[in-house]
Amino acid sequence: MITILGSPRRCCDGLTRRESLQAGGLAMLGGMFGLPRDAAATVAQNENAQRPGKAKSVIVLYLLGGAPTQDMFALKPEAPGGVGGEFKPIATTAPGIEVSELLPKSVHWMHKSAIVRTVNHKGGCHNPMPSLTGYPEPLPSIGVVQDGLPPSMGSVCEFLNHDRGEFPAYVHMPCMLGWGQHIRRAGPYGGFLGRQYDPLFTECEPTSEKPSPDTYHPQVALGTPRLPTATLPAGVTIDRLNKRWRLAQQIDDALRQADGGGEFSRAQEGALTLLTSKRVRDAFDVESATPELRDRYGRTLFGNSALIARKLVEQGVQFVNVTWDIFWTRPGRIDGAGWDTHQRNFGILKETLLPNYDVTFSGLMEDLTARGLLEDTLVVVMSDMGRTPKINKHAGRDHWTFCYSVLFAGAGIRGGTVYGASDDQAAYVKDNPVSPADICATIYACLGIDPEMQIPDSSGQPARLSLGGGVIEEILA
Amino acid sequence: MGKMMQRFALLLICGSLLVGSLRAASPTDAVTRAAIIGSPVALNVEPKAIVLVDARASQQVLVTGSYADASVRDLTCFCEWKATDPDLLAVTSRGLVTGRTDGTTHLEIRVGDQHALVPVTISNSLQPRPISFRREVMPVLSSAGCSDIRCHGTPSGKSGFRLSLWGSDPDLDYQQLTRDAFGRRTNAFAPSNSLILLKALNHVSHAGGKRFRHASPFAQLLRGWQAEGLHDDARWSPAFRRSSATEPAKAGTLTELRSLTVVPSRSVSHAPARWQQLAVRATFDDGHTAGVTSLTTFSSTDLAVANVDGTGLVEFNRQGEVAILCRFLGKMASVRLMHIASPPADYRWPEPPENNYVDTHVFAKLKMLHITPSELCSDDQFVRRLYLDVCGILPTPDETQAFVANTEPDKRAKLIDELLQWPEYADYWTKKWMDVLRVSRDSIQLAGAQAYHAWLRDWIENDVSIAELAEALLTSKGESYSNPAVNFFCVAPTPKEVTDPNYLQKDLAEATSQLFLGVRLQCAQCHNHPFERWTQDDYLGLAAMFTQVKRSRLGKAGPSGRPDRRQMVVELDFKAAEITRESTGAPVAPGFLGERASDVDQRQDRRQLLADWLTRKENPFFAKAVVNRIWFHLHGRGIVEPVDDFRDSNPSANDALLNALAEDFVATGYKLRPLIRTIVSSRTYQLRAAANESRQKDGQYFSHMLARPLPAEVLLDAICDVTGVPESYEIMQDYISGIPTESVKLPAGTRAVQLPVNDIATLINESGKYVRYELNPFLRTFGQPNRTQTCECDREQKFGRKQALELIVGPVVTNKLAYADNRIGHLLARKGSDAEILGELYLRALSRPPSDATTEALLDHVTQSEDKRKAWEDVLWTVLNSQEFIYQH
Repeated sequence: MITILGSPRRCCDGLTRRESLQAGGLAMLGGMFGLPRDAAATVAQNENAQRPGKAKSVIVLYLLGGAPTQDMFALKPEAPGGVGGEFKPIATTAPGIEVSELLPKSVHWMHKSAIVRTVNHKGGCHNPMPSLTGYPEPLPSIGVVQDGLPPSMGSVCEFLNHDRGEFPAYVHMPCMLGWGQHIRRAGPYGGFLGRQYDPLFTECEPTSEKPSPDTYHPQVALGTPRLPTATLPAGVTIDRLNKRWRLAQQIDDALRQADGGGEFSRAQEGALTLLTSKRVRDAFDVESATPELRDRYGRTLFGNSALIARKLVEQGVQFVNVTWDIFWTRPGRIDGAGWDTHQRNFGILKETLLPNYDVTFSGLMEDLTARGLLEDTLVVVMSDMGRTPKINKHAGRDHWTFCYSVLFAGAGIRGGTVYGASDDQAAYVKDNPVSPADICATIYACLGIDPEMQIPDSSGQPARLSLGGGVIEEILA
Repeated sequence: MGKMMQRFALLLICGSLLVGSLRAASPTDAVTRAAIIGSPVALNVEPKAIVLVDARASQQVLVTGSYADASVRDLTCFCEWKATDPDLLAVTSRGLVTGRTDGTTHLEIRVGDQHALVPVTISNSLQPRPISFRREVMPVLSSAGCSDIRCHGTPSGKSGFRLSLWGSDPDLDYQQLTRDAFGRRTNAFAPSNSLILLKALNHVSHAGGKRFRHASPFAQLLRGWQAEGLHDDARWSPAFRRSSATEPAKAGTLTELRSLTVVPSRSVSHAPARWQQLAVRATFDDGHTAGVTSLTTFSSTDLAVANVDGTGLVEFNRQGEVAILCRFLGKMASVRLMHIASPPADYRWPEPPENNYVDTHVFAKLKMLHITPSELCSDDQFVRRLYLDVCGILPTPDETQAFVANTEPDKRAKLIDELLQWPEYADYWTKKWMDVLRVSRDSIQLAGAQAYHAWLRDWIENDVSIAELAEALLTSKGESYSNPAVNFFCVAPTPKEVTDPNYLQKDLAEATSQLFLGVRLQCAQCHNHPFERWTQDDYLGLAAMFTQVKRSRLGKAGPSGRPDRRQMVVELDFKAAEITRESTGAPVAPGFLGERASDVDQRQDRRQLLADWLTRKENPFFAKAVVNRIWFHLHGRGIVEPVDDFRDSNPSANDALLNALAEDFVATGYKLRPLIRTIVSSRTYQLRAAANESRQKDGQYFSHMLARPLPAEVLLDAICDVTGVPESYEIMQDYISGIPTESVKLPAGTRAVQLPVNDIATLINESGKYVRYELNPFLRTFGQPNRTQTCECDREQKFGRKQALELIVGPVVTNKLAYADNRIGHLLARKGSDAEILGELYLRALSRPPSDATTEALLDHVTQSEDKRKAWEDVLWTVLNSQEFIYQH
């Protein structure tokens, strides 16, 4: 075993600890840039001035399809040429910040929020890579998961997670991204770090009140995320699984005994705890929550996911992604558009998207606050891209990556701030452009992870987490 | 962003201080020094005489001590140096000699009780010689770290200042230094006020910190060059004339650097000596040579093992091997250094017997490193290991028992010979080649994949030479379904939008190089390879071997916007345009790596030339690349690792072993069976997986078998075997347009190892908009590759939480355990004793009987359970979830 590429990392508890990445005898770290031990220690010492991360965890509310943020938090009612949209802005708890009239509950949380109004990228449409990893390049196909690409933020948390308890560090809900359309969308994976750092994907079987007549009359997906393969197979009870496990401990597995807490045993024990731990099962159990609490989050798939996210954060899970995903080819026609409102933008926002989002966001904020968790939980609302200022002939907005907003709230965030300005149509950046890599670097910084840390890429060469992004200091407390 | 930026700046400084200036220091206290110097009985000084022939000539002197026990130590950094006449000569504490004025004197060297006298002649030292931009300034920028990849050498530059990576493009750098930023970076009138010096000396804020001192030779060179008028010695006119910057450099104005020689090229230092000074000499085309140690950029391939500083002093931190890369003016030379720590007092080499030359080389290395090899594995371990490695299957209980009971002394050799003839051998090794030949439906359709599969299997089955196989692939032409070898060209993906007309040639160059030469050329596509000697010319030259390849589709195209799924045809186009260099537009001459292809005839199939070169007995890459790949499959780790990444900066774990295997491979006609037989017959292959208790931990020198998860297909087949419930596979038929509706069931008994493609079920969404394939979820979970890369790394062989979950509660294991008519069902129906049933399950899954304690625990569980069947399912579950079952060991 060699320890190399060591890099300092600020722990959630504010203590400095040198994080050593163990490389199991692989030549991958034989690269030329491997920091020797002493050098890593030097870097660590020089880092004493670093601000500790204020957030222990982050919950990302991910609005798949490209949310029209100009109809949410960056309204331009006075914009010329009919790009302004149909909704009126209303005042919020933060002076100078207005949001859409369809977000009446969110207004109470703007003093805890910061809005970055100038996010833009050239990674192409419906490409979740920039937002989830910071990697800005277009992909040959957005439905192909390439292993050599940079890892998602959550995978980095998992990679750095050495104190593995019962919970993984990274959970993605409600299902593998794109599952409802029979595709695997790139983005939330371990990338070149390896598949063992992929998130724990939950699974779901959403339903809706009635079938959706067509793509642009989406229904709200109902249901609850559940642990993968955690529905024990028929005939195997927890009791039986425990019995099997005890039995397995009694057999002479020479290799495992020699491995002694190594990769194999850790993986197996980690998997088994997922299945048998009461804490884990409880965290994914929304039924036991009070009806009032469930209503506060909204009894949708999105709301239930957010409720579970809060429970996971309470248990110390570092990175939770709650996605508003699309369900069209499976399990049935429920919501074929998500936030991809090419037609009936305002109708869909008004009927389903904004009211449900508003309930879940404010429910989450309320609950986090009530439990004292908002002090160390960062909430981020983001999308794979934005939508055109121009309204098309179907009353829709099309794809737009040149300027859109991302909302930060909670731990580490200077509430009531706005960063960056778009032009009068919210079309292009006027000042302070922000790349998705900047957003990722900011999230890393909030979590106390140094964005300039090096991690080994697929060829063993060190790559920086930041991918060139910088921390947006102005929105940090 | 002020605070944060400062923090990053701080980090950058810390990071960049590491560039080229890593501390490699010799101890200063007298006691330690004396201990390291010991009592040398003689000194060997290189060179024997020093001749310095011009103004800034320098010479690095090396001093090696010989000891009574015939060992040697590099003592260069422990010597006391003195010039007999100090007016004539300056010498550093590290033994770098420069002249002050003309004359003849001696260099006096003293270390321990020994001393030596070296004659020095200095001439022309006072004759002014203009400072060369190309020969002196460029190396300074590289050696000081300015043009490093992390600093201004990164393609986008740093803080607005961009240099070519390690000085690969002097024209660009000249422009940057003298023209860019309004020419502020250099100043011919007041060189000390130039930005380049102010920054490098950190007199103005520099994110990269201080690179060298005011009085250092580097600073003197930069000052002098500017004061002399910013000349570029490759150009006719002086730089300050407007025309000069655009005037192309004229050939012949400057003699080319021919080679770099680094001394020593190899060395082994034994504790307590941990230091080695290097000396670099350049030879130019006109025959003159110069000491360039102080202008060379050094780097260590493994900083955990050894550091090297800017003066070429290497310091080892622990036992191990490194290559030190020495770079000067675009040439790179590497030297291999090794350090061996003192063995424990009670260390004794166990003298293990050797089965063949593999053991000779492996054991020689282990002995040298004081690593004790493990014991020979037991018969039951051997039989399981061999079946899995050679045939990808588990032995049956009968086979295992017969082998263990056999008392013939050569039974292992006989089993090896037998298994190599089995059809499962051909299936398994065909699959390994198909993975890296990128045989997938997406690229060549099921029809192409099946034809290719059958063709390849035939070659493997008949053990035709791999050299001939390579030639057949490289020179194939015709329609892909009827000429399976043509698929070698067809698997290269067609980009959605063709922006590079030579995308096919480049892909083929990369694939050929990685597959048959073990060289990853990808980096050289955009720039001269940072860690290797491969240049863009090498890359494009190899691509130019494929310019005649013309690939087209047969039949009518399907609807636009859909992937084109028609059959392909490969033809030769002798009039195809040459590949051109992007920067100059000049055509690239076809070439082999590091070698020009001489006199290429317009009417010749260049691929044939490439195949001839590749399979020539003297080819330095081919045989090594193949034997390393085979070794990798049998040991879980290449002698060079990663297996297809041969480069100077990635030294092999055992050169002698690699060379011997390669020679033998060539001598036995490039055949796989003899090669595999040699490897698995060795004692090295037959060592236990458990590492021996030895102070030196070994992960790379093959002192024990590396335990590793079974490949996905082998694991699935093994689960089918043990549970007695085979999988059934269904594959969608090919289609050109529309959506596929027909599927074909593969014959019962088809194993996962035999699948022609990795995608076995097709899923289509209702609207018909997306047509995508889904892989077998079990195989995918366990790392089955996409077959989109010519790289063994495409297969991810890891055991993590997801893999564990799949075996604990996943549908494959669950359903097979519950299946009524499975192995348990059969054994129960046979009405044997519980102990017999358990014995059979263990033999089948683990090729050994259960231990007494295990038997007791498991049989207790069975007897105490009301539902016997369920109890046996539990027992089998523990076996399938044991590391011993999931891993090869």
